[in-house]
Amino acid sequence: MTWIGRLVAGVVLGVLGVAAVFPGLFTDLPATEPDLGSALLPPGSQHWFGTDELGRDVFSRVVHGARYSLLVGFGAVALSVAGATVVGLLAAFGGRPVDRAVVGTMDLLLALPGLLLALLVITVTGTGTASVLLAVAVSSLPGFVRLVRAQAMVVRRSEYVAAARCLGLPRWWIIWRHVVPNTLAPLVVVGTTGVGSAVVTGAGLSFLGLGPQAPTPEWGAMVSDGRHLLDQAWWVALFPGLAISVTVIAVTVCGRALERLSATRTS
Amino acid sequence: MNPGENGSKPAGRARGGTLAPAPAPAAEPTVLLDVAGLDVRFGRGRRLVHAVRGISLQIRRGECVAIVGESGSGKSVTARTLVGLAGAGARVSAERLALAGTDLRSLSERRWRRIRGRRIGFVFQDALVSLDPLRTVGAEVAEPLRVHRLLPARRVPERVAELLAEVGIPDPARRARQYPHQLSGGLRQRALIASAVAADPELLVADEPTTALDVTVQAQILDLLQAMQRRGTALLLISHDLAVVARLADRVAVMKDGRIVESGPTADILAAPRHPFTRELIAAVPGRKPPPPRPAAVGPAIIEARGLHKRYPTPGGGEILAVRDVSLTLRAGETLAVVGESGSGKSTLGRLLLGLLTPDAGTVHLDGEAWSGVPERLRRPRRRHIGVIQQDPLSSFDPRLTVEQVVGEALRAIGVPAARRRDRVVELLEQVGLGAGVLRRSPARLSGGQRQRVAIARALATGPRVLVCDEPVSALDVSVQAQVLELLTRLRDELGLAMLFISHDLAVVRQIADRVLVMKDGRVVEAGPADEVFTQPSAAYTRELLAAIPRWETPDSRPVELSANEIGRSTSR
Repeated sequence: MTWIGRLVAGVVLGVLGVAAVFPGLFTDLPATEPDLGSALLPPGSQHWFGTDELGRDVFSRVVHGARYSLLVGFGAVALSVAGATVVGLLAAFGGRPVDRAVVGTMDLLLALPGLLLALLVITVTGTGTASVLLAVAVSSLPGFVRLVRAQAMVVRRSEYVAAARCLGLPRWWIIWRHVVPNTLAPLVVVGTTGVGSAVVTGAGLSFLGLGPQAPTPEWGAMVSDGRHLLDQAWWVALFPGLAISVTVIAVTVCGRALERLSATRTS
Repeated sequence: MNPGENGSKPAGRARGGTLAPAPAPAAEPTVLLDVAGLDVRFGRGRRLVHAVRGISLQIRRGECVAIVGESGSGKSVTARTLVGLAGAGARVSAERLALAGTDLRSLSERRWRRIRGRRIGFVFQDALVSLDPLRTVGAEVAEPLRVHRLLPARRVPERVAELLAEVGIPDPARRARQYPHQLSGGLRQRALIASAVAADPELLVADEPTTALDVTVQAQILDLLQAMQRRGTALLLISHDLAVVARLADRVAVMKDGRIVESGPTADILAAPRHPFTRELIAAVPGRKPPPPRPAAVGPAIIEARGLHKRYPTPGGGEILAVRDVSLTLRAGETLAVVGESGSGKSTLGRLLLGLLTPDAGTVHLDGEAWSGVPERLRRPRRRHIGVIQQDPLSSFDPRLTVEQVVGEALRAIGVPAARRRDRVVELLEQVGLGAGVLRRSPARLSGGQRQRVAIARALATGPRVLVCDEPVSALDVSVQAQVLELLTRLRDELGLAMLFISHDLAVVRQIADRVLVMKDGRVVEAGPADEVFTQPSAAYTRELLAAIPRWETPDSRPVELSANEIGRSTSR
């Protein structure tokens, strides 16, 4: 039963990925051109998910919106992991003062709710997809830094690093060749699971109007646009909301599967 | 165990694997455990592992039967099957499997629970992982009493204290309130035994009960098991250590590849083994024939340590003096052994000499030049002179690298150009008895002995003059241990290496060392030529260590090791 779940999650993620790159494969209706003549049509054979206030096809907008959510989800995590690798290794190898400074800063950042941290970043950078990506990356940075630091310290104390030191290999070689790969391998798995929450945070920021601006078909923004139409046109907000949920679930299921896979491989 | 190898062979089922017929017929009332044609398989098809192949075994009340064998021989699977814990996916079949007339073959998990802990006690190898870290020792020991409702609840604490006292735990009332991590290894193992015998089982199954313990603690646990046997508990002992078996077991069964290849009274088997594997196993026991003393090395000192001290902070704000005022000299071509029990500071000493730790006081010189307290930048080019061999070869390799990359990296460290590395790696592998066939393998897919050979090849790659070996053979099976020791001795003699050999195993040390340093609580309590230390120990602690080594009488009825008149006797080496 569980393998069916994983298969479905993988297929869903694959379809979302294709939609993000080639939305034209799924729909030929425009995503941003208003067509006031067909405003707020309920779901039907013509418009599968109905139309919004401006007569735009909701299905087409959901399909075109996939790229923003996936970009923010995967992009922010990638950026965050990359940054965390540098900072975490610095903490693990830079000596006690550097370590204390890094740990202190990260503890401070962890004390702030992620969304608040993201809002702070957007206050500085302004709205837009890139800003949201950066904001989400910063908000998930402290957690990843802690992980990298802890893992790097484990690897640093490992017998194989001791063996490499005894061979007289230079420090940069040991870090590059042994510490970095063995630190990142488990992080990739944790990162994948983190993509789900990054998608949610990104959509949340867009919902607040801080993401890509109209008429960009971003899911969070679409939910926001549809929320005061709930009593007359529920479909405007429901389908982008469902898209967010499905994406997060698919990503999380795949991340868990990856986690199990790597656990069985190392044992 | 390689699944591919086992899948195709037919199982010798019909008569069971026992070569010597069991002395007592099954019907005899004193037979407590009666096993015939026991077969355990895991997996299917190409992944089939036939772990136990039709073995037969009988244990009478008050008797101790031992199963000996190497890792992968199926001895632990056999032990676990007897308590119904063969594991998920195991397929167990047997012609007979009965405990005092109760058929154990098709018991439900519920019925098993009434037998496990109540009628059959089980002692695992590693007490630290077998005891629940979140429960007190007392709660652990009380569990079988409560679960099987053997006593009214108010009388349980009293009985727990009694049990702990019986297994020789001092101050039982206080210890019962402590957690496993607050107890030493020996006390933990005793607590585990106390919980296994709490319900007064008829049979106690002990899987390598002393393997993780120091030799002096091992002696105490063996005494304890023997005392319980005298009181009438039957004992099934699983062990790889023939000396331990010799001490406890009335009868012994030798297992190999899931079969019992030989069985009979312990004295007979050890004195006159018939199966080649048993002979091999006995011959591989280290220290049986110590080599003749070699002339004392007179060359210049390669490593010279003076007055080394090393402290570690402890969580409570205190500190541990791991190494206190240790001095030593290691000359070219000689082997200096550092022996001691866990926590004696011998590994810390090794790390100080390797320059992985900085001493708090004292100095280390390498080739007459300062080695400790020198910036790593200056030390790095000289590191090629000291090779290191660690206890667990697998954890000493980066898990992502292949054998070729592991050894090649050492060549890179001394500047061998990439184009010439492959050939040199093959040469080194051949030198340690491996071939080019393992180049692309991951060390994780090699056997323990092959892994340690790869580690030795890596240590030799930089052309060292000293090898620092930290427990290099303790993780290996006894026959593999003998081969690796032989390899180390050969390389030492061929290459004129100096060797610092850190070990807790006195028998192994006896085999290889020219000089011995005995450590206790961070101090050197005795130092001298190996013969003297082994035959005329001056320190009380050394005598205690030597006395604690289990040993058995050889056919010519002399103790197997450490007897004075063995010196100078010709050896087969």
